[in-house]
This record gives sequence, C-alpha cells and structure tokens, in this order.
Amino acid sequence: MKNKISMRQAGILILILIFSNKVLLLPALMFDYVKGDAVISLILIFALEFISVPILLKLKQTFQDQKLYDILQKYLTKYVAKVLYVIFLIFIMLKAILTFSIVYVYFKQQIYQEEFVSIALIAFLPIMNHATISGLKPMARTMELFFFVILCGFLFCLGIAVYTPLSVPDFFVASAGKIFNSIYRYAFAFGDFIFLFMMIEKIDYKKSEEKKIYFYAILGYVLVILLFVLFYAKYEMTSFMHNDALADLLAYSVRFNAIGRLDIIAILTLLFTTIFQMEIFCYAFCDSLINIFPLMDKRYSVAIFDVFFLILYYVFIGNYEIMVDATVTYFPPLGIFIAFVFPILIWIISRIERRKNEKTT
Amino acid sequence: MKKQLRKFAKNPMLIIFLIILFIFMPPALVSPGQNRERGVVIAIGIDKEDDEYEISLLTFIPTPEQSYKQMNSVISGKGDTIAKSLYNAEIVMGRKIGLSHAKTTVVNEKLLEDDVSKHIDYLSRFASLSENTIFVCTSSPAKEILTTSSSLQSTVGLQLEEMIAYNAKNLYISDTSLEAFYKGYYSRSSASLIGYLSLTDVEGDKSGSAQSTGQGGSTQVDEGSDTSGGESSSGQGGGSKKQITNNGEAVLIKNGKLVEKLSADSLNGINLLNRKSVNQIITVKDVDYNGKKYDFSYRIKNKKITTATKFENGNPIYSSYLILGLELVEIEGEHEKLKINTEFSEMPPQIKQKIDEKIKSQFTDAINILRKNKADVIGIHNKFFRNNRGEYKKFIKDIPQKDDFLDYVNFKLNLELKSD
Amino acid sequence: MSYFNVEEKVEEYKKLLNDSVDFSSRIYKKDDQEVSLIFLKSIIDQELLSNAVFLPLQTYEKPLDIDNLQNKILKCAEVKEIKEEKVIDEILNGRVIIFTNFSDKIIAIDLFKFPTRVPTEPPTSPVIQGPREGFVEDIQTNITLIRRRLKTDNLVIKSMEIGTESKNKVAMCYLKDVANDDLVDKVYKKLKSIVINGVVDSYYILSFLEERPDSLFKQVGGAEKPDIVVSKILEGKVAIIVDNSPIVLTIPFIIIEDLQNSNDYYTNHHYSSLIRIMRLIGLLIAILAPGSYLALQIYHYNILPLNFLITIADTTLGLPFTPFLEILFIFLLFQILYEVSLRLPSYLGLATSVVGALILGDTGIKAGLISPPGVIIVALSKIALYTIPEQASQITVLQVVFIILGGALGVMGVTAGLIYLVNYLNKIDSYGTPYLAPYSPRIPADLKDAIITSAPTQMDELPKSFSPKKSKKVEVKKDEE
Repeated sequence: MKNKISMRQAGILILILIFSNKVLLLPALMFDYVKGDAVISLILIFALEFISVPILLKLKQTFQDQKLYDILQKYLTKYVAKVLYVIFLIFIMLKAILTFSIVYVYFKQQIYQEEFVSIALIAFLPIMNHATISGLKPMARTMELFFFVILCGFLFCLGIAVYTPLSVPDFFVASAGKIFNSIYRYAFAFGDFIFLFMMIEKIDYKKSEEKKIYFYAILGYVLVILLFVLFYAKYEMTSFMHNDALADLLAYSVRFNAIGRLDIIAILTLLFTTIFQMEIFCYAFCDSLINIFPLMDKRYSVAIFDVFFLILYYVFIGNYEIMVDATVTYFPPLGIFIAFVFPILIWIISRIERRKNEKTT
Repeated sequence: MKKQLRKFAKNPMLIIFLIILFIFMPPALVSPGQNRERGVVIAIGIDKEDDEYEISLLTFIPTPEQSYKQMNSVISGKGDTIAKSLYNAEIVMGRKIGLSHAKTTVVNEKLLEDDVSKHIDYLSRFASLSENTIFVCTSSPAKEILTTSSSLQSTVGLQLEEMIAYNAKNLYISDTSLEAFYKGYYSRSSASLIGYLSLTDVEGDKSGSAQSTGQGGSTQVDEGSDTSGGESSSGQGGGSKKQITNNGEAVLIKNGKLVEKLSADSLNGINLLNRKSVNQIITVKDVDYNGKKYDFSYRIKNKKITTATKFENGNPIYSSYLILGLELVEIEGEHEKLKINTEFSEMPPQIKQKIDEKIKSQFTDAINILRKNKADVIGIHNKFFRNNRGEYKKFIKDIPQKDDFLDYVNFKLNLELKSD
Repeated sequence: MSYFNVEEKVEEYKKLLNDSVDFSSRIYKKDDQEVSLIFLKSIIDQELLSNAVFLPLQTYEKPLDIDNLQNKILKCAEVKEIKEEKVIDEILNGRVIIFTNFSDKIIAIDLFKFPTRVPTEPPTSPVIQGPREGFVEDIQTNITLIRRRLKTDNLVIKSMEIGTESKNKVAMCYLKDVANDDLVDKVYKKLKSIVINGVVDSYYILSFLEERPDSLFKQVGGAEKPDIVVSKILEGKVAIIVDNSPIVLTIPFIIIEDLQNSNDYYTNHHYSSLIRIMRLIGLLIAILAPGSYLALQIYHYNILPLNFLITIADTTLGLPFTPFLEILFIFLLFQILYEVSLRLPSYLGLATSVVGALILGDTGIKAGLISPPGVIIVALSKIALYTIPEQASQITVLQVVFIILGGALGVMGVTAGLIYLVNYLNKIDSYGTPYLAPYSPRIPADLKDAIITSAPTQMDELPKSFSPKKSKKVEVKKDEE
C-alpha cells in the first residue's frame, strides 16, 4: 500500500495524459492535412494504442511488482534496457517541451498578452519538481481530487459547443493513403501509455478493478474524439485557422456573448491538465534517469531535468513552429516506436514469461 | 541563525516563495494593472484611401465615477498596412491597444473592391481578437460610423452590436462575423454573406426619430433619441447630423470581393430555403375577395423544409419541399367587417394561389441572384457533395468552369401552405 | 509507642510547601492519641471536611485505631493509605493527609473541590437544535459528560500526568472494539513522550501530537461539545481530555471534519448537503477571491467581461494605490478591524464595527482611497472565511499567500499554488489517515458523510478512513435474526 497508486488513480493518470497536447493544436494540424478525416485517423490511432491497456494489465499480472527496467534487463540484457530508457528520456523531454511551448503560446496570446517566460517557469518548474520529489502517491491523489474539475471543465467546453450552429463534417474526403500517412505523421502526439508502463511497479493491482483502467482510457478517448468531431462540426472549412481547439469551442457562440469571456473555463481546464502532465513528464524523466544511473539521487535527477528543459526551451522559444514542424517530420518514428512497437515488445516478453511459468508449475 | 538557514534549505518551496516575494512581487506592486495600461477597444473601423489604410478605434475612456459609466471616443491612425496604422493609432492613444474586447469590425466597401481577406489578415492573425467579432460592411467611411455611435453617451457599442445581432438572426441568417466570413470564403463556392450598414444625413427634423424607411425588420438608431434630447454633438459632418441606418441589407462576397448588395426583400427569397429563418411577412396585394380587393399579410409561423438532391440523366436536380404554416396578421382594404377568425380559418384558394406565385417568384429571383454571382450561400454544393458524391465530383470535373455549377442545377420547389 | 511526631510533621510539610497561605493543619489530641490533618484549604471542600472528618473524629468515644479510622470513622468516599514520599503530591491534589502517633500508616482523604463552571453552550459552536452542553475546565466533569453518552464497557479511559510543574491530568478515551490498535498505541506513546513544564490548555500538547508540527495545517481536531466528541469516538477516533481545558482533542483529524458541523446531523440531510456545498464554495472564495481578482486586474484584463472591466476601470481611476497595494491596504484594514473587534468588550465591539464598516469603508471609497470592487472582494473573502471558523487562522495565512501569488504571477501563480497546496495536503498523513480523504484518495464508502450526505439510515458503516476494527456500526448477532 505504501507509495502505491490505486487502479482508479492510474486510470485518471492515463486520462489526463490522453488529453495531453491533443486538445489545442492537434485538431487544426490534422485538419490541415486530411480535412474531416482527421477523426477517422484519430479513431484508428486510438484503436491501435488501446491494445496497450490489456498488454499493461497482462504484464502486471505476470510480473507482479517488478520494475519495467528489471523486466527489460532480464530479457533484453542490461545494455538494451539502457538504450530503451535513453529513448524514453528523449521522448519524454521532447514531449514536455512541445506541450509546454504550445500551452505557452496559447497563454501568451489569450491571457498574458505579452511574453511571460519567467512567470511561466517559476509557476511550472517548482511544482513539477516538488511533485516529483514528493513521489507518485501525493501526485496521483492530487490528480484524483482535481479530476472532477478537469472533467467538468472539459464537458462544459463540449457542452457549450453543442449550442452553436453545427454541421456534420465531411468524412472520407482524403484518400486512404493519406489517412494512413497521417497516422504516421502525428504519432508523436500519442504513445501516452509508456508512462503507465514505466510506473507499473507503483500500481496497486487488483483484478476486480481492471475495468477502471479500461473505463478511464475509453472515457479519455471518447472525450478527445468528441472534441475533434465538435470542433470540425463547428468550424468546418476554417478549422485549420483555429489553433486552440478547446478554447475555440467556447468562442464564437454568439448566444453566450452577454456573459463575457467564457474561455476562462477552457483556460483553467488547460492549466490544470498541463501542470499535471508536466508533473508526470518530470516524474517519468527522473525515474528513467535513476534507472539508467542507479546511484543518482532524486534531487540531482530533478536538477538535470530542469537544466535540459531550460536549455531546450530557450532554443525553441519564440519559434515553436520549428518544434511543431519537427514533430511531423523528424519525430514520427519515435512516436511510432513508443506508441505501437514497444507495447508489442512488452507483450512478447510477458508471453514468454507466462509460458515459462506454466512449464514450471 | 545557522539552524534557521538549514531549515530554509530543507524546504525548497519556501525559497521559491521568497524568490517570488523579492523578485516578482516588487514590479507587480508598482504595476498599475493592465486595465490602466491598455486602451480597451470596443469596435474597429477600417477605411482605405488609395494605398493608405486608416484604422479607427472606438475606445473606452475611463471616467472617475463610482458607478457604471461608459465614455467612448474614436482614435484613428493611418499607415500603409493595417499593422502600421494600428501602431500609429497606438501612438496617438499613448497606450497599448487591447483588441480582446472588440466586438465589432466595420469595413468600408472600398476594401471589398479586391480580396478583402488580404486586407484583414492582421485581424485573423491577431489571436486575442475573438473570432465572433461582428464583421459588417459600410458604404460611408467606417470612421464616421464609429464616431456617430460614440457620440451617444451610453453603451452604443453594444447597441450597434445588438442591432446587427437582430439582423443576423432574422434577416440575413448569417452570423456576419469574421468567422462566418472566413467560413464562406473557404467554402466550395468561396461566397459569404455579411451585413451592411449605411449612414444617412438627418436634417434638423427632430420629430422624425421613429421614421421608418426600411422594409421588413429594419431598425434605426437615431442619435437624436438620446435621453438628454438636447444638442448632443454630431459626428463628423459639420452642421448636419448623421445617423446609422439599418435597412437590413447585406452584401454578397465572392472570393473576398463585393459582388452584389442585397436588399432585405431579395434576402427573403434566399431565406425561404434557410431552415433557421422564420420571421418573415408575406403580403399579397389586390386579392379578389367577395368582389372587393384586399391586401393580405401573412406571417410565417413555422417552416419545415426538406431538400433532396439527385442526378437525372447526368443533370443535377435540387428539389426542396417547403411547408409553411401561415398566420393572417393584417387585412387592408375597404373594410366591411371581415371576420378574421372564422372566414379565414381555411385559406381561400385565390389567396393561396397568389402566395404560391409570390413565393415561387421570390425563389426564382433568389436562385437568379445566386446563379448570377456564382455564389452558393445556402450550401447547395455541400448538399450535392454529401448526397451524390461520386456524380458530383465527376460533374464538376466535366464542366469547363467549376463555379458555373449552379447554372446546371435544376431547382424544383414543392410548396405546401397551411393556415390556421 | 509513637510512630509519628505529628507536630513535627505539620511543621515539616509547612516548610516543604513554602509556608503557603492556604496551608492548613489541625491536631487532635485525645488522651495520648494524637492525630494531625494537613491540607490546602484552597482546594478542598471545607464543608465536607467539617461534616465528614472533624465531626466524627470529635464525637468518637473509644480509643482510635487505624483500621477503625480508615473504614468506620471517616465518612468519605475515597480514603486510602499512601506512602510518605507521595504526601506532597497528594496534598497538592486536594487531599487531606492524616498522620497519627499510633500507626505508621498515612491516610489520604479525597476532599478535592474547586470552583467549576456549569456545562453551558460554548460560544464557538452553537446549535439551532441539538444538545447544548459544552465541556468545562474540570476533567472529572468532562469525563462524566462523555461517560453519560457512552454506557459501554468498551469505553476505555486511560489517565496520565503531563507537565513537570503543572502535573496536569490527561485522559485518553476510545472504544476498544472500534479504535485501531496501532492508532491507540501511537497516541499513547506520543502522550507519554511529551516533556513540557506546564500544560495550561490542551493546545499546549496539540503540537506534540501532530506528526508534522511545522505544518500550517492542524492535524489534531478539537471540540468543545461532548456530542461532537462522542460521535468521533464512535467513529474510532481517540479523544484526549486535558484537565483545565474545555477543548477536547481528537485524533486523527482530516480536513473534511471542519466542513462538517454538528448542526448538519440534527437537520435534514438534503439541507446539510446543500450547506456543505456552500461551505466548500465559501472556503474556495475565501482562499482564492482576492488573489484571483488581483491577477485579473494586473495581468488578465482581457478575460473580464466588458461591463465589469468598465466598472473596474471607472472606479479605480485616480486611486493613489496600484491594484496590488490597494488590496493589501484593504486586507490590512479588515484584519485590524477584526483583531480590534475580537479584543474589545462587546459593547465597544459594536462601536468599532460601525466605525470600521461605515466610516472607514464608505468614506474610504468616497475619498477616493479605495475602490468599491476591491472592498467587495476583500470583504467577501473575509466573510466567507467564517463559513469554516475552525480553519480561520489557516485560511487567513493562505489568503496572504494567494494574494502574493496572484499579484506577482497572475492566474498561473494562483493555479500552481492551488495544486501545490493540494499536493502538500496529500503528503500529510494524520496518523495514517489521508488528510483529504475521502476524496483523495477516493474512499467510496466514506462519501456518504462527505460533502453530499446520505440519510442517516444509510450510513450504516463506520468511516474506513480511520481504519476501524469493525466495519459496520451495528453488528447484528446471528441468533437475533
């Protein structure tokens, strides 16, 4: 029980990660590429990604409380495990930077109206570091408490959009090849189950609560798909112009003009999700760093995260377009590996282990 | 002392808090707040003279009052690009411009002489300007519209907005916002419909505050109707007063260019095919009834519209089934005790026929307008695309000009009238 | 044969007790038998002394013998034999000590009495309907108040003494079939390990019982009414009664307890759910309102609706303060008024509130020193604070922190601060109970008595947050079915 998170908390964790960097820029980017078929492409990606859930649960059943690193080490030698963890490190860091810069640009335009780098960093970094040092349990509990707020905010955004003129988006406009290509192009935005794989030893597994993980993962998928559909239904051909999908669902609803700026709801929802995501990124980064260098102190690993984060952030600041461009040109193989290849690898490993166990008994 | 320092070091969040306290708080302590640093813009007007833009901003000026009071003034700047002229306006104002509360954008029709999206690129790029900003076109300089609306010392910016909102809801059934413009601009026929305002001179006639010049649901904002009633200052036009006249007109924009100005009447035809439009009066004149001639006015109470598209022998056919529920609201003529309730419970056939003719002619007119301008503002393209995708694509490929598609479409209207 | 020289003994103890003015003694001589009584007259029941001790002694005809004295003559409830080294303690505890020259036994009679209050309704937790008794300063009365409500052999009351100088009696109460053993052991050990010179009030030992004594948030509950304490004992908590304090401590404490009020249990549960939601909103307003207002004004004017923005811009124009200073100034003003009205006698308190509210507030606005929205926001948060009066001091500190965060960093600072706060609270485990239970972590069974409450008939389980020994409130025996 000590320092472990419940299945429900793990589910909430994955739900928050599923929202990650899919609710702001991604709908517009994908629409620009495949038009309304982005929804189909999204559903396909989710279907592929969803395989991770049963694999995760099987892995947990097979290996009980073993760490992912130990499992990998056992089957793929120490060096391969280290290389894999370095890949994770790169993936996490890039994802953290990407998420942060997208949200930063959004907040700059919508709420601060001017550059506020120092404010953003002093607000984000200490929280991330503190959460990492104090461990997964308080972090997951905090998410559990705010989950309700996030869900309500999200549903509110979707609900308001229903009250605006909507039209059914056109599906099957792009060719099949292009749809499949889009899966490859935007793979980097997915692959969130890797974080659960990395925290596998911290999950307090109960067979009867397996459906909770399924429930929250599916809830996350349904909400994101709903967001995409409503967003395209609302903006039709101009979807590519709207870079802040979640907030833009609230805007342009003439009926609610009298109340004023409703996008404060979207802003708060985003702020909460982003901070939680960044906490998870920071935690996972430090966790893998400690796995690669077992002697490292947690505080040092946090410091290393901060240093990397700051350097990369200052490289990309102001030109996050480069970052976004890189995600569709250079990063997709990384995304494909993390999101689709790695779970299959894990599946094979857990299958071998089960066979072994069956033989011995 | 050492102990205390160690205690601090043990709690890094305390150090962070101290950093906030000593580095971030002092500038905030002396900051007057954004609402004092920024000029809050309520409406934007854009004019173009030769190659020079003039941007006018209806800004809110704070007055030291304990209660709600809104004072507006118009500030303008010129420049060869919109960004430059905004910058110049900023210099004039002496404050940074905050566009996030701008609810109206008025552009002069000169900007629509060529692709307007080129001109207003800045506005669409400037993310803090929300997309539901109302976007209207005007014949007179946009600056004058703003000046006229500012001279009323109340929330005129809002009134202007409310007036347009009424039109948008009842007359042209288009949100007439920046977003609606772009939606049309990027649609299959690149056509959109936006609202139109004009400014008219009012001579010293004070009593005419409620003169009705328009048809349909046009409304007026008369600056003379200000509660003070006195000599409220006029706008630009020296001695003569100006007022914003709203005739419920709209302009049809194709590829960003103004192609036709539509009167409220001709909009009615287009609206017949629009599901959301219900507020309409249909008047038939000189109807023989019991040997006398009457004018009958009906209001559309409810409307049910279904459309179907198909290709017959390779020709696109667009058929609409329109069911109108009508309510008799007025009978004009030499009255001889026409009992409204009983005799007209069933619509007399001659009226029915007249209405039928009228609606069909309106419909034809509307189709002609759309065909003439190659502007599909009611989504005919989309309907074909959705229902008959393969044939539609093939047809579009085969015709020499994609835009001419409307010319090939056969329109059919089945009308059913109901009254109670 | 003489065992004690009674006159010498009197002199000896008089010296040992520093010739205190309340030191009294009396020597009886009858034939060759001598009896001395030593006591402190300030803390004994003098009427009882003359009726139950002096009178029988004087009227007794036969020669005295120690057994007779102890069992027959003295008409008191508690007469016991003590050792000589305990004599001072016993005198200080209000006992009359008897030395005789015919026995080596020393007898102590309990005649302890001091002025106490009658159990009245405490001013801090009044109820509309429900019991009005409150604890008093006397531990005996307080134990009686609890015992009267729990007539069960499961109730354990352990007593001990804390304080090298004050030697305060401290009692620990719990139900042995409900309270978790680990919890009881832990609390007992903590109490035993307390080293302090004097316990003037239960709050003196409160911070010794907390697992994180540095923390802003209290981890030990306190109640002034026996009905509240008994309901907590029934949930499996441990109550600690300290002599001379009307506040009884309960362990473990979680934050939801302050959202609950004894009134809630004496009214309809639908109403109490509504009230608890209001309290939660009040709590959020109290903590976040001034900071958020400041953030909006300094950084995010664009989020404000136009009409509100115009009001703010109109009213703040021409103020000598910047928004930040203005809020700090109003905050300080309110805090001063609060302190003054708390300290002053009630008839003056009314005068200060008139001066504060009417003259300072209204004139401040008219003079253009402060703006009406600023006053409203700060006043609102200051009033909302008292929806949860138990947490008033903590919330006031948080208000200042969030004002600084909101003013210095904007809405991002406020949100980050809120997340940090919750993360921090989640780290506090008050005796193994999650501080934010039952919401984080979610304990579904305990949600029945959280913010949305169920009918009392449905609350048949004991709260799992405190890991009690049994799960049902009432365990129906099989043969009774």
